[in-house]
Amino acid sequence: MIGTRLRRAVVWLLGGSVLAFLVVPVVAVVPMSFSSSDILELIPTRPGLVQYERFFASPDWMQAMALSFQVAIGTMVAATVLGILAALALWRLPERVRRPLEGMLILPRIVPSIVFAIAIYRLFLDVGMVGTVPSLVVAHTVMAIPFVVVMVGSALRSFDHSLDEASRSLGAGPVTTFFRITLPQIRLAILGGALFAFNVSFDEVVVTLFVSGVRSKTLPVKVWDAIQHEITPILPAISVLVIAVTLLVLVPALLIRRRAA
Amino acid sequence: MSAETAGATLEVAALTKTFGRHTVVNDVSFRLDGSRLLTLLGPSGSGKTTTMRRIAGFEEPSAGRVLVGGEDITRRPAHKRDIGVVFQQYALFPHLTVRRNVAYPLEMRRLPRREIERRVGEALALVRLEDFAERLPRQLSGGQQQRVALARAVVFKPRVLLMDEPLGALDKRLRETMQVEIRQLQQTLGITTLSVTHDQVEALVMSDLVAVMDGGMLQQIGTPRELYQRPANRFVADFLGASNILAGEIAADAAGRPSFRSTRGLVSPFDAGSRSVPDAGATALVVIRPEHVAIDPRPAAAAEGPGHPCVVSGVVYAGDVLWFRLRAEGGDEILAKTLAGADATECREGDRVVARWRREDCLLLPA
Amino acid sequence: MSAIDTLVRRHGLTTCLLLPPLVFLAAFFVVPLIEVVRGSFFAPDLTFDHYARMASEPLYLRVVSITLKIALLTVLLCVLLGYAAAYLIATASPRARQLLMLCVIVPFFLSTLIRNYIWMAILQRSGLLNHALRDLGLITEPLALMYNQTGVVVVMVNMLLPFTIFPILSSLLAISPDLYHASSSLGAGPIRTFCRVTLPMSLPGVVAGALLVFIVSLGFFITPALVGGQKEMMISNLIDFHIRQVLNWPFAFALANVLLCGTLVLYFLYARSVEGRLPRTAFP
Repeated sequence: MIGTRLRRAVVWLLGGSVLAFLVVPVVAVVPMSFSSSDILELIPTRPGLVQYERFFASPDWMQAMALSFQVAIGTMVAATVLGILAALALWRLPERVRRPLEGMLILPRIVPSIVFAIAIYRLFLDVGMVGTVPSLVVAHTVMAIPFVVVMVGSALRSFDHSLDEASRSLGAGPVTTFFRITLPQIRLAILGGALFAFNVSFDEVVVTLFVSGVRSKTLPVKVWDAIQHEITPILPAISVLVIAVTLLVLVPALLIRRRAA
Repeated sequence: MSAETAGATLEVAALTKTFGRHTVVNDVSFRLDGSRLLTLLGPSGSGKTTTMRRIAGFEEPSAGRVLVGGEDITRRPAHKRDIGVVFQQYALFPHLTVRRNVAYPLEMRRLPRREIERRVGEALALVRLEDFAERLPRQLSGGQQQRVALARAVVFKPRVLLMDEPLGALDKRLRETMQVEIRQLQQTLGITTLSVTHDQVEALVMSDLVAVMDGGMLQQIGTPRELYQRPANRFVADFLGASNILAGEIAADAAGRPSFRSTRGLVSPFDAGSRSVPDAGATALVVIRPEHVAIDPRPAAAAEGPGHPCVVSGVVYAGDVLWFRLRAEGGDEILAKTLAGADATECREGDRVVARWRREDCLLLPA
Repeated sequence: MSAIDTLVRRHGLTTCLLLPPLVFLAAFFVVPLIEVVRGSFFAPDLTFDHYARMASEPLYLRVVSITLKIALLTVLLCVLLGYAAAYLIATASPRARQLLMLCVIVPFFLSTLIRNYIWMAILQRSGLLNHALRDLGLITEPLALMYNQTGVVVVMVNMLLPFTIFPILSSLLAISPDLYHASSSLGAGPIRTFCRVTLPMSLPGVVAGALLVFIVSLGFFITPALVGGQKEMMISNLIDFHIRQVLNWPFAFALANVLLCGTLVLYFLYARSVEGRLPRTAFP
């Protein structure tokens, strides 16, 4: 039995270290954010909310945050609508047509960000749209669609096809059937997909670096600039805020995904 | 819900469905008079469900027509067909209460609210679920769900009712009660009904007419009695109940009358039914139902007139009945079924017995 | 043409549903990418100069080899560490498993940029790690943990570990416990059961995870840009450099095209290897 316990101990030690490696950095930033000093310290010598105050008092940062929210909400709406349409269409198609189309809709997740970034940057340069809110929304929507398609698609796959047929046999046309039967069944998945889409946009940096130009900088782009120039002590505080927003959005989305699975 | 309103006739003409090069339903035609119940019976993959889905309008046929009350509805979308469907897993809307589920088809038809309430009430009373109106489907037992599905499918007085393996999801006991209940309901409402099943007992118990399907083709259509007693071919004989099917040829007996001789030498007079008797020497197939095989256990029996001396090679006790496997002298295997308590009950493996059947119970099938 | 007609007639509604997302993706995803590919060959006349230059200049070959080296190292470490983590999660009690899963999922979805920043705060010369080591008296001079390949690989492994943990975990969980009982009843000890049953049966998850990490590593941009030094430039950063600093677009397009094709080929292999073995998701 000692052998068994020893083996468990080794498994926990190895696996536990890996998990700690994943989690500790994220947690470490929290105490750092309460520092009042201008140098980074893990345990603040004079704890306080100075950095948070500095962030909220800065019109620059506030503007970036407002823009981020604006773009993320726009992306959420656009990606959700387009994603639902695509998922519904895929669901109705026969397997042999569906597979390649599905592959294509997932592609924006696969193509390296930098490649898509320069591609869309060039397009927006040509039409003079670099740095506009719509251009950011469009670029982010492309990247967010796969999340919605996959989430809504998996909800639809577990949706019982005969409910749809039952509704039709009882006299409901396709549109009525969608709103009264299908939609209520996939509502949660749609919400989950929408939250993921929000998160994709809120975090996106590579494509945004190009498309935002110098005029409209989202929060991640501002953070990127700040990192490039100097590591300002305000960044841990911003990190904590971004993490908080992400968690706020993602926890419900993850719960929904688990329920769907 | 007035009783005894004559239902619409249902007619299916030359229905064919192909998926690519694969023909799933091949030239199926039948006509079902108003208020009758027809069961499509067949193994899985026989095309019975596909036929039903064509009639419901869920899939378009490759060829052929569907007529209800003489009206061609082949190209009409499912929601305009006025055909009620009971689904295999019931397909109750999980987010709607029992009441809302049953009200759904009436709401689709934009009936006044009063009228909807009245008819939902009636339908629920009909299936004895008034007290469960506010429950969600998942809060009901399987049998209750099946009754809701039934109420929902008939509440809007459809011209035809379709049922896809309606009892498939229930356990054996409940299935037997529901068979009777559905049959009564169908007769009360006088609704033309087409049911699909692979369960032969269910088909025989519930139906006015049974249509046996195999390989996408209609094998035989008739009353349960006709099908059981006069199977048209080997498939039907085999699929409906247990059968002894012997292959052999036509021979003449001592008196010059045509008789059947199996490949292993068992000779028996036979009944050709409505078919003409083939010439001597023609290959032939006969079917003998196990319950028509009488077993005489007395040692002296062999001497007493016609019969087939056999050795008991196996006995299975099934409570109310006993199954015997008999081996005739030539080696033919014959299955016999006897009610518990009959003479043969005491037979053991290895006993010598005599098996007998009447001429009309040995039925000639097309070879 | 007639096949398409039949499709539209039979799937009229489906086509209407599919049209908006397809047009959107065609306009803002497919066409721009095609333009990149075209731009790498036509400037404005057909030329292969950019590709020839890429293959002939040692600098660019160096970038490609560094990219491959970093990606392979990342894959190796992600598989080893990921297996350890997945094995722990798979063998933990269901309650503990939920909690351990959170340790993987939550960081995975947090902003990549923020996590990179945190690593910079940890690894830099005056960062937390150097501070801690000096306070403990282990070093006198700060270590160079950042702006080199080690730093890049450490951070990339941190970012990409979930990509191996998830598929390995799902193939480990798919192994029926009966197999372990069968194996031990047939006389195999725990080590042999692991080598002869667990490991081979979880191999599809390992392969899927490894391919995925490799694919994502090749196109990594943020980490090498922030944590890597000028010498550790990966192909993504080289593309960025040529677009924003050198302004040599056609050459950047050629680099992007190489990266794009490599990624797509590998993804195709990944999809083939995973098909039917692991659940399909956009977030592995």
